[in-house]
Amino acid sequence: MQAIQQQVDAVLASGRVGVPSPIPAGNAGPMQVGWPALQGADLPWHGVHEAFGALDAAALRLPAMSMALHLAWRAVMQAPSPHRVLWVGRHAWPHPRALLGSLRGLRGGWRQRLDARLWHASVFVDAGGLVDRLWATEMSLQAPGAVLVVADGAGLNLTATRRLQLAATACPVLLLRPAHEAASPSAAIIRWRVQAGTHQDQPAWTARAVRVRSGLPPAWLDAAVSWDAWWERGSDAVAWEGILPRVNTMDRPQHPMESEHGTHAGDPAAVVARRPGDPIAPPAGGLAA
Amino acid sequence: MSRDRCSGKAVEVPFDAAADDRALNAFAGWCLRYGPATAVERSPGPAAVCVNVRGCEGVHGGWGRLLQRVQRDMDRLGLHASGAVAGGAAASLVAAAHHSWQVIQDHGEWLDQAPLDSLRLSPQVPVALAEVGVRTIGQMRRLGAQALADRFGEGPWHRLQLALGQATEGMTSVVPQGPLRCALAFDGPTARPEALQQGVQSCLQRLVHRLRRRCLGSLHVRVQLRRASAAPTRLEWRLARPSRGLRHLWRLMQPDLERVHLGHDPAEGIEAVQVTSLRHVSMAPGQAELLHGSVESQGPSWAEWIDRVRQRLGGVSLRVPHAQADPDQARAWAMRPMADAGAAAQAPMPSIEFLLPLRPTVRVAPPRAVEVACDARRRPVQVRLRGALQPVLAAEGPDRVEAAWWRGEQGTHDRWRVLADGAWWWLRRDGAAWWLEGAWT
Repeated sequence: MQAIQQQVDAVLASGRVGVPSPIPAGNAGPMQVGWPALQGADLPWHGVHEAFGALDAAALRLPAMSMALHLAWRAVMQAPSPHRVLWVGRHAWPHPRALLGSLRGLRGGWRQRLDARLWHASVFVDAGGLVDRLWATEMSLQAPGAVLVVADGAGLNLTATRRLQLAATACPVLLLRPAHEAASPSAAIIRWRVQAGTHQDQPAWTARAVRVRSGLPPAWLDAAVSWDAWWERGSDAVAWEGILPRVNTMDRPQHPMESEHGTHAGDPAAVVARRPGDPIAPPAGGLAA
Repeated sequence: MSRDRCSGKAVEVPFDAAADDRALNAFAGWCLRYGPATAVERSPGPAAVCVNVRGCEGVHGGWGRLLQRVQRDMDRLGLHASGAVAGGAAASLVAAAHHSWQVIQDHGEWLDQAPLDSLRLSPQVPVALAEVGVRTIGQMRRLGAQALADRFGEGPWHRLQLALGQATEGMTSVVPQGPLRCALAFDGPTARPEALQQGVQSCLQRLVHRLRRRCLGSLHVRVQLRRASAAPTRLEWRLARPSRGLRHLWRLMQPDLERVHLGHDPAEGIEAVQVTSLRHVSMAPGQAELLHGSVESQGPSWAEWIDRVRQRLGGVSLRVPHAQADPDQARAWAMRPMADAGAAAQAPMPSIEFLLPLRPTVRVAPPRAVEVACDARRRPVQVRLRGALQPVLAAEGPDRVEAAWWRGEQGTHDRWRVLADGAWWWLRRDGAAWWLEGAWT
């Protein structure tokens, strides 16, 4: 009896007993995505993540590709080789040029060189219908060496996202969903709303976490992150890097697109975006989250 | 670009790495008439085939006569080729580039005089060495192994050792064998799915055993079900990588076999099954295979994953990015089907000058017509997006590209990157018409 008690004590001491988290622990560790707004914590590298593009519309799908590219670059740079990034569904396929980064360094002179790591790691899955797309996304999560799956998430319901949540233990799946599905229920652990904009005459983006499941830091809710495309200004680094901590909430007139797609009440994305042409700069009050 | 043999005119043929590789493999098989083993050379440089003719001198009446015969055959085929006979495959490749159609009997001074390009190194190595005055193999040899390895890794020195005959060469021979078949005839026609599956499994086991014994892996498998009173049913599977894994092959076959209609009457059922490997290539034995008789003890491989996706979604469902220098954006940036086994993984990329210009993150395919208002200098000032005219806050362009004249296309396209409605858009102007081609989203 004493031996059993000792075993119980040992288990309790190890912290393996407790209320189970709705977010399954991933096989892979968290990913450093370079977003200071997450307050030092790294993004959990498993489960279902969702991104809604503010420009996306039913008639013309323009998904939040920049977030997928940003995370893909991060994953490829940090994951051990061999690694693969799988893009499922034609609406989740980026322009191939966006898979090439540029390096500029001393080695070989101050000439630009291509960084084709993401180019060589990318595999595109052409899955048409909803059923095939869901099957291909689930299969992609089982692919050997997969570090990130980016999938067209249009039309996926709660059951489908739960199924993906259970499958996404080794690597995460980022669902690129159309803006009009922003109110649909989902099992995603984090949901982002991405706003395209500009910074110093270059494309730049701001994303806001509009839903964060329990198990993640509550302060992440409403946290805003931003990054831009440093295609041709890199210095000894991959050009596509969104690492700049210039973020945050700022007051500005409502964007016409937000009223068109009817962002629901309480969605912070409805009041967060920059006026076109404005630089992204940290607010005087610091992080709002 | 190629030349039409009938008309003599230049024609544009899109580069297909997989088809190129298949043709080279077929050519290597054709070259078996010169020697007992041939292999496709995979090192950087022009396409090459190595033929092992060791001990065949008497058959051909001397090396000189063999070279004459090869040269005559290449002329007849219309191929611009060079060849040589030397002590090993790597030495022959150097000789073919530097002393074409000659028999090199020794590893003497000729190799020292040969240019570095003929050693088939990575393209940047000869360029970097030329900058410090090293242009021939002899000069490179004098640098020494350590100096080369410090700067370029082990590869160049190993290549040199191969050419000198001081390192062991391995050849992945082209396998000339025909199809391998295993068949099983039932006592009578059967309509029972269990009997059919057991029969196919039995044939597959024997086929896998034969493949393993010959160090082969199958790339194309066919199952033929012979019926008593109907045409036979044929099922085929093409594999991404050579395989002789029983579980892998069976997992591919099982879903399709379950869908086969076996007939309502047992008398109309299946009489016999035949499992055939239609195409196979050499495949080295694995350690796990030697110990346990199976290579699949470590979970599904990448090749198996590819096969399962292709089986459900189709042969072209998996794609990889492709770039080529072309004014047509759809041709310049494309998604090509993933190459088959043994093929070159991807086509070589065009120059960095072509690849670096900014492109959108999302392509709108096909492009959509948009209404754009221009100023007196023909710069866009307003663009209609989502039903409303939006002022253009910034515009970069025009990026003017001439059409592909060699395809009979004429005119020029102007491309603009415009900031409107809170985002950057990628527009193309053809005369008076404007098209939305992409966006940074």
